Amino acid sequence: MEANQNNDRRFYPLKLLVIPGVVLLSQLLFSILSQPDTINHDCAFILHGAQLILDGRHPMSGFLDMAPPITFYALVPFCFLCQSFALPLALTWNLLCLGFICATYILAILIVEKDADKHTARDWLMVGPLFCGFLLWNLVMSYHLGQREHLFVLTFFLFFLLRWKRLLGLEVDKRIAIGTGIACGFICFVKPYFCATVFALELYWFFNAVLRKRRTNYALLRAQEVLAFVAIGAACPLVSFAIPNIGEYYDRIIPLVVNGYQAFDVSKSALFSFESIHGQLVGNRLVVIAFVLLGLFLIRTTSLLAPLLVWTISGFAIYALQGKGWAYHSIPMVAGYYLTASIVVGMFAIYLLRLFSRLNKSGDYWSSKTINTDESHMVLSQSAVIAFLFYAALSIPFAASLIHNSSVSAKILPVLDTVIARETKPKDNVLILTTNFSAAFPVVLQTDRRQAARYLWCFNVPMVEMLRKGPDREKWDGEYASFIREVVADIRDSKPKLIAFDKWNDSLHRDLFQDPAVSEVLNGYEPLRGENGFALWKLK
Amino acid sequence: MNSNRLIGIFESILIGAVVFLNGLIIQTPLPDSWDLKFLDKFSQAIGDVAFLDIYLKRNPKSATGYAARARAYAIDGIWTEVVKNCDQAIELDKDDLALFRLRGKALFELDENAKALADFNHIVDSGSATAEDFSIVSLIDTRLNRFDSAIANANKALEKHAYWSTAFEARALAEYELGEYDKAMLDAQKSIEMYKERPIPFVIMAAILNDRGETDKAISMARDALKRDAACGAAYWQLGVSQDKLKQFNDALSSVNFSLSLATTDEWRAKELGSRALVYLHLEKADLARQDCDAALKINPLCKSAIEARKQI
Repeated sequence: MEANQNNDRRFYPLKLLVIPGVVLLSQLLFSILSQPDTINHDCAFILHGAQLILDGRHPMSGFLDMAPPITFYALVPFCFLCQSFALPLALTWNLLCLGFICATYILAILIVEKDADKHTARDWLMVGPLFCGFLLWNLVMSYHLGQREHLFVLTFFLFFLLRWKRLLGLEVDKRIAIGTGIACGFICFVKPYFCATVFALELYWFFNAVLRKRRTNYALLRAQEVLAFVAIGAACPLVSFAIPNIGEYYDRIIPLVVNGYQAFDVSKSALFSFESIHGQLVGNRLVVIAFVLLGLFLIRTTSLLAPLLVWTISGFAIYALQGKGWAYHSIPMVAGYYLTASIVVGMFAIYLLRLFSRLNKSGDYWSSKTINTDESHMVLSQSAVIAFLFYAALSIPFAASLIHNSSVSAKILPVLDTVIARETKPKDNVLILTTNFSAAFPVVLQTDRRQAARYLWCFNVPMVEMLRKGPDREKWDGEYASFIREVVADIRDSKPKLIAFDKWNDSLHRDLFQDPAVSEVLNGYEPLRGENGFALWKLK
Repeated sequence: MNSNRLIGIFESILIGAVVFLNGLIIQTPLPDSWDLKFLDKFSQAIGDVAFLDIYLKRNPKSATGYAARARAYAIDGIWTEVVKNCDQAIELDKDDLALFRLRGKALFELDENAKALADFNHIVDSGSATAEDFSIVSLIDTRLNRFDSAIANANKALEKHAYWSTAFEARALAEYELGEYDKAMLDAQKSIEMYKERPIPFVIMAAILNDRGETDKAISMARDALKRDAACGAAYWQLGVSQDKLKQFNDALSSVNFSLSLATTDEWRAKELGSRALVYLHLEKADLARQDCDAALKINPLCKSAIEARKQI
């Protein structure tokens, strides 16, 4: 009995984690089930790559993209299962992502649960707001569910909690640490920009340990999550070398991206005003800045605020470094400041409660002293419940001002849906040549068609166009000529039932139609008509 | 049941309720700057459509909401959705002429000319028609083979605005169809003088030059049109006509095929099918020529190129 009480005492009230989890994840489940065909365009694209692998077309030989080929292979088992059991790909993917969120949440609870009695009262009381903030953040990610940035935040949240606990000198579960390191390392390999946040936080943990003379806590080589992160980071490139034609990726795609990715850059004003036409996640800029400044002001009140601010700033750096202004690039930053804001509101709740308890001359359970395990469990538990309820009530007015719900700010417009449904049938090859990514995805996945072009979208065209104007013109002219030859070969070899050429990209159109080989290969096609910005051709 | 348990249940319900409320509000776009005035000023098209989908679920009687969504779709050229949203907005607010104008424009783009004309006539009848409105009415008249009315409406547009580029273009097109080549040439040139980036006046000039046998100049004009819009189907059509005259039949076939893949209206499609019929004839593919002739004449019985091809079959 006594042992049980001790067990209970050291844990943050479970209902403050379970009830929000059940409520908010149910809301997310409802949101997923209410739009079963919706799937993020990037996820649809990567899943389509995995489908093509199952069909026998491999990255770099059967199709090309900027994303590391291992990304597509990673989703092959999922696509295989969906195909085997005839599961709807979009809905199953979204449910799997919901499963990832649930798993992350449960693991996060397991991480903070251990040695909870060794936290300071304020850190202990902030567990609820932090976890609730994490759930609310996931709730607004509904359109970006499964996006690489979203998965990064899921894995990094666990990584963050593990590193935080280690800095406080607390034990963590080895198995969770290794699993988290592997997952986070893999996502960072898929998109190396994310390493900026991991490294920035690592620097913070290091300097914090040095300055606070907790150097022994910062035992990098004994931290399983870090070792697993580094190991997977090293293993992924090695495994990649087993992929057929991987040389093409490193010799052709990487140099192109390194030299030309800036072709997608937007102006600095558009970048920093977060005004992408593809919707935005950042809420009212003034409210966001106010919360970050408040976080800075309260930085000494809890050991969580400083690392969360570093997370936010590094997230901003990731967004700014990419320079594209796309909403999903801001996901790590938005997660960082949203969690910061949750803590700030939580701290404000505690400030109000302290004020209230002083006025009533009742006991002060809100100070920053270490939790006194001699206090009755009931009182501590009640303090946490009251603090949480205050936090939740106070955060209501700010909930929608800090962040824009992604499903309310992003949508895939129906561009080729009708014509694809009308002119082709499931499993048919269609060749969509476009620089407008979302015109091709997710419609190809949703309608179970196959992209016949090796360029799943013409990511190379804007880059090569820009580079052709530079000093190395001959080289990039050659690259462009190869691209046209590859398009011709794709039409000739895969005989797509429908061809759609993007009308918006002037030079793509001009160069295609001026090439005699294109004219020749199109002899087997009947021109349909222009529709929603595409020139359409049907196999005779 | 002891009091502790009751308190526990009450707390749990309270926690659930307050968290649920947070979840509901964070998914709600209405606070912050997401109001319709904001949308009017800084339309973001895709974001707007997503927002308005939810806004209109909650406010199904908001004409302003439907109008805003129609405008957002118009930015991306999804004309069928523009028409649907305008229909709903007009049902709720019959007095807003801007909605008729937007729907008329969308119907014009979708080649639904009779319906488009009805919307623009409503604007004309209200006495609020602009130079652009009359110009579009003129272009619709030409599509419907009402060339005299097209010229009259283009003139009305020019009365409203003496330097209106679209009006000159519309009049040039009607004059070309009536065979008044000198006038058409002059109006096409004026249209270009007013606004150099329009490709169609170059196409009209190319068509006139082709008819006059000045093939090299026609090719140059068609290429000028393509410089302004690489996806200008009509320019490929005239390029094809020139290549046909120069006996480069395979090139001509490719060009006319390109133009057909880009054509969004029956007006141009009929012309292009007629021209392809001529190319097929020269390639000694009479069956295909006949098919194209029939298709072109079905769309437009007065199609010049199809009539010419029919004579030769």
